[in-house]
This record gives sequence, structure tokens and C-alpha cells, in this order.
Amino acid sequence: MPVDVYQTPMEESKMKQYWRLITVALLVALLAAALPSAVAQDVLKFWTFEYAEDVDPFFEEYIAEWNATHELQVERQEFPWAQYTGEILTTGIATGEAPDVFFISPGDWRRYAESGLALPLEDYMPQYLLDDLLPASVEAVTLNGHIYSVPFEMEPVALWYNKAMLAEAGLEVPKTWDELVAAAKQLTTPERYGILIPTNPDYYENFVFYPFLWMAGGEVVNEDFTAAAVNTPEAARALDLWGTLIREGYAAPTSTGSDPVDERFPTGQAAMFVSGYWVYGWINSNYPEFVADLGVAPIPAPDEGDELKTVYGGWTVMVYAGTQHPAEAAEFAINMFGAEDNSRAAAWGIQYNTKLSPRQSVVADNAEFYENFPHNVFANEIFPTARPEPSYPPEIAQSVWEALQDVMFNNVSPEDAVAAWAEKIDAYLATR
Amino acid sequence: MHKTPRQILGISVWYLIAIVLAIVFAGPFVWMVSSSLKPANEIFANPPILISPNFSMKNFEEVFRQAPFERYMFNSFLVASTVTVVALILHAMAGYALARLEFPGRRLIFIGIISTLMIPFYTILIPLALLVKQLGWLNTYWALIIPAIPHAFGIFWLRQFFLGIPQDLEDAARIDGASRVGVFYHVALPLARPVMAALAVFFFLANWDSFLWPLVAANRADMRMVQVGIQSFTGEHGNAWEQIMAASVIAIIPTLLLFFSLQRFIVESVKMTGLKG
Repeated sequence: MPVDVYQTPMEESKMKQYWRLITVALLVALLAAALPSAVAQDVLKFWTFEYAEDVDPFFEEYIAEWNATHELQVERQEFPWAQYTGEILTTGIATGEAPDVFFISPGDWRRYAESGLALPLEDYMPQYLLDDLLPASVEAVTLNGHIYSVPFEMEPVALWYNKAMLAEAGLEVPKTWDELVAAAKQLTTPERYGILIPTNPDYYENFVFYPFLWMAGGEVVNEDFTAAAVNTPEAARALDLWGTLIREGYAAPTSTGSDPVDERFPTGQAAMFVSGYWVYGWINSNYPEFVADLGVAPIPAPDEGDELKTVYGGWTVMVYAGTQHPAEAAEFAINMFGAEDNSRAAAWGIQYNTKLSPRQSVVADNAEFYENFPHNVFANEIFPTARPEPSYPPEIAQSVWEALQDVMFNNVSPEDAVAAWAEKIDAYLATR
Repeated sequence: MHKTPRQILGISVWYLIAIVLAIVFAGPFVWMVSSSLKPANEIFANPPILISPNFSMKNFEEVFRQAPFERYMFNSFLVASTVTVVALILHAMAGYALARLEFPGRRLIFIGIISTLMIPFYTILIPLALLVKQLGWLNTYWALIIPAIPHAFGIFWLRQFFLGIPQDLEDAARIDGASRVGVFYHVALPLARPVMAALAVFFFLANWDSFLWPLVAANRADMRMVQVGIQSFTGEHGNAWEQIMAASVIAIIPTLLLFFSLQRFIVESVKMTGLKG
């Protein structure tokens, strides 16, 4: 096609002028917008995931108190739960927008501590706090002699059950794995499942599985973190229990979307539910009429007389190693739950959430509260058997849920599953 | 006109298939609306409750009370409509240039643009966030709008369309004295109206539904877009399904309005471009 032979010189110049004007206007607009509007104010950034509305006052009050007494002001930001440790913290740190103080999950803790992202806090921790905190909870946030975060909550896992359904079936609360399977079988009807265990392959499934593994006598890795410890009959036995519950149809094979609180339990579609302390708070506010039927007991051990064990989860508060204000950030993080007066630490677990405090003085000072159901069961029976959730690297965590999924859904025998599981862990450990 | 039994059977089969498909596609939608109107403890009731005896608009009130949801809607609306308008103008110009103008490297540029379709967004998330941070755009509308504008899909589609316009039409306009820009503006663009309408729906929906980039680019609560806002009803130990459903119902209304007002263009445009080379 002939190019531009029909165009009059006059028209072309007018057109050009017009476009030049538009281009200049656009560039000016872009530049104006690109200039930083104001010099960023120096603040202490504090990030958490989104808490329910009624928990927010806890943070608001503490921050108001801090801001009134400190020159360096604290700004809190909340992020959607599911993306918080993934997209949000990762991009925040990668782009230099990292918070000075942030909540970290047990699953991500080790990664942050190992890669030097966490500020060691032992020099900032007052002695009274170190004495008050449960040794196991401090150990769970310690790596190579450094304390990398402050523990502030504990949520142990237990066996919740529907008292009315167990009574109707004439069943006692199961005390061994054989009794657990038998009870789950008897309680299963076409309309309901005998028991609920997490089925989504993720950190939460591992978390709930660890007590079963530990009670059977199994471990994921050896003590020096150099080799897999799962290729044992004990680990196979724990896998087999979960596999049996699913394969026989006693446990629900699907999830309602959030395993920690499964709506099928309070709505009568399941008789037992392996889940954490938080279940009580959730049922109390969403299904108050169900509280009367709610029972809770330690997760049964494999055989009679075996030691009871459970796991507890809970986030901790970490200080970013690259913070411009290490002293203030550490003070802010430690004082949130570690002030000499333990009332804020207590309020977090009693008033704002259903969680136990790792500070021993909290249970002692609130004895009355811990006499009531179900807090008494948790504080006196379940908690003493609890071990903190181990913080394994993602590669090992994945091997755990893959072994579970294989036995529950892919018809892999527990013996084959533990062998493959050990191989995956060893292959990963060899690369460290 | 009478139909033979065979014909009636044929029609019935088609109707049956259509009904099944309608249930498959409408089911989740009905469930969402139904769930948004009932209390939390009925959402997972067994047997399912479609129309709750405790029917109420409380969940909708809660959505607006707990979060500045109207602000999220406004943010999404501003971003999605700006991106749509600007992208349509720029993509049409780019598509036309690639289809009609002769310039060195045209093929290479076109292939370059198309190949960006193969890069997953996750891989450019952090570089893009760094770039936007250096521009000082974090937590501004610029961060939400500018990176969403360039997109190979619109350029490609419009180029294909412009290639299909008979050259003679444009030549005739040129003979009558129209400039290059005049031909684009008075001949090509009016013909592209149905395609542009369809693209407008796609662009608006894509930006209205975008989640990951707005999540990272704007972390201040008042800069949240609507999908990020809905996500804020999920929590540590479970999700407020009744509020998520109510928020979803609210969020879906603008997209439905847009879709129904422009849907005939979508079908038309697919017929017209035929996406042929």
C-alpha cells in the first residue's frame, strides 16, 4: 500500500501538533504522580494477619499505650490470613518493605530463623520473663542458642466429642486406638461420620498428626536433624490408624474448607473431632446451644498405659533483623505479652481468644477461670502432655502430608509409605 | 407445524442437557445468594436449607459494618474502569499499528508482545513490586492501575480484528482525504465497536477479580480492592462463610450489570474476529 501520498501537508502538521500536546500532557501527569508525595515518616511497622473484629481492641489498646509513651510511633497493618506468611511477608521482605515486628507461624519460624531474618532477642528478654515462660515454649523458639521470637499463645490438640451421641450409642470416651476405631465405626451412620480428622494436605494436617506419630513412638527426624526417623513400624502404625479411619469410611474423606473448625461437628454430621482448644471459643460464639453436648478428652494413646502426648500450636512474635530500630522493636515485641504485669498476656488467651499462655503465672493467677469446662481439662489434663509444634522446613513438611495422603487416599500400605517418606527426608537432608 | 416423535425426542434431549448445564452453572450462584441470607449455623446444615426460615439481611449489614466495604467497591470500580478505558485506547492503537502500519521490527514486536502471555504472573511479582516501590507508587492507585494496562491479549485480539477489515475500505477513506489517524479513528475504530465492547467486559472483569497484585501493591486498608476485602473475612480458625457469601453477592453485582448490558457484543465479537490469523 502506498504510504501517505494522499495526506495534505497542512493536515499532517495539525495532527502532529495535536498528538504532541497529548503526549506532553500525559508525561507531565505521569511524572507528577510518580514523585513521592511526602517523605515517609519514620514509624515502627507491626504486621499481623487479620484477626476477628473483637480481637482488634487488644492491639489498639497496647499500641495506643505505646504511642503515648514513646516517640517512635507504631503502625499496625493486618493482612488476609491465607496470604499472610506467603505472599505478604515474602514480598514485603524482598522489596525492603518488611515490618519491624511481625507474627510468625510455627511452620515458617525455622526458615526465618535460619536465613538470618530474625533478630536474636535473648539480650532484650528480662529475667522474670525467661523464668515465667515454660521451658518447652522457649526451646521451641531457640536455634543455636539464640531466641528468635517471643511465644505468646498455646493451642493444644484434643479429642472433642458429642456427649449425646456417645451416650446414645452406649460408648465410653475411647482410651486406646482400638477403642477409637471401634467407637468411630459404631458412631458412623449414613447421615454422619464417626470422626473428623484433617484431610487437606497442608501444615495443619501434619500438626494434628504429630501426636499420633509421637504416641506410637515415632519421630520425623533424628535428634541431630541429620537423618529421617520415620522408617519404623511405629510411624507405620500411626499412618495405618488414619488410613483405616478414612478407608473404612469412619472419618470424612473431604473437608469443608477449613479443617481447624469443621462445621459438621456442631451440626450433628460428625460425632468426634480431633482439633484444638480454639474449638470451644468458636462453638461458644457460633453454636451456643451445642456447648451442652460438648465433651473433650486427651487424644487416646495406642495401647492402655502408653504415655499420652499431644501437640500445641501457636504463633510467636518476631523482630526483623534488618530493622532500623532494634531496641524499640524488641521492646515493643516483648512487652506485648511479656510485660511484668501479666494481665495483657492473660487477656489474650482468656478474654480475646481461647488460648493458653506460655507464661506459667497466667494459669496460676487465673485459677478460677481454669476450673471451668473445658479450660480445666486443657490446663490440667491435656496441656501437661503437649509438645510444641515442630518447625520443619517446607520439604520435610511436604513429605509428612504426602505420606498421609498416600495411605489415606492412594492405597499405599503404611510400610511402603514410611519407606518412601524416609527416602524423601534423607534426600532433602543431604542437600542441606 | 407438527413435529415427529423423533424431533420431539431430539428437542427433549437438548433441553435436558441445557437444564443440567444450567443447574451446574447456576447452582453455586444460587447457593451463594441463599447462604448470604441465613445465619452461620445453617450454611452447613444437613439436609441443606435453601431458603432459611431465619431469612435476614444481617450478613450484608455486618459486611459493611466490619469493613469499609463501600471503599473497597469504590477502589475496585475506579481501578477496573480506568484500566478498561485506557487499555482499550492503547490496545486499539497498538493493534492497529501492528496490523496496518509497515515499520521495521513489526513482526518481532508482535511476537514479543504475544510471548508475554506465557510468563506466569508469579514470576514477575517481586520484580514488579520492587519497580513500583522505587517509583514510590506503593499504596497508590498508580500501582494498581498502570501495571494492569499492558496486556497481550487485547492487543492480539484487536490486531486480528483489524487484519480482517477489508483494505479497500481504508483505501477509499484515504482517497477521500482522510489521514492515517483519520482512517483509524473514523473507519477502523467504529467497525471494532463490538470487539471493544467484549474486551471491555473482559478487562473490567479481570481487574475487578484481580487479587494477587492488589494484595501486594496496596497493603493499606483503605487501598484494598474488593477481592482482597472479601478475603479479610477468613481467619485463623475458620471462615465467616455467611459474610464471605454476602460480600461476594455484593461484589458480583457490578460485573453482572456490565455483563448483561454488553453480552450480545461478546458473542458477536467472537463470531466476527473468528480469531483467525
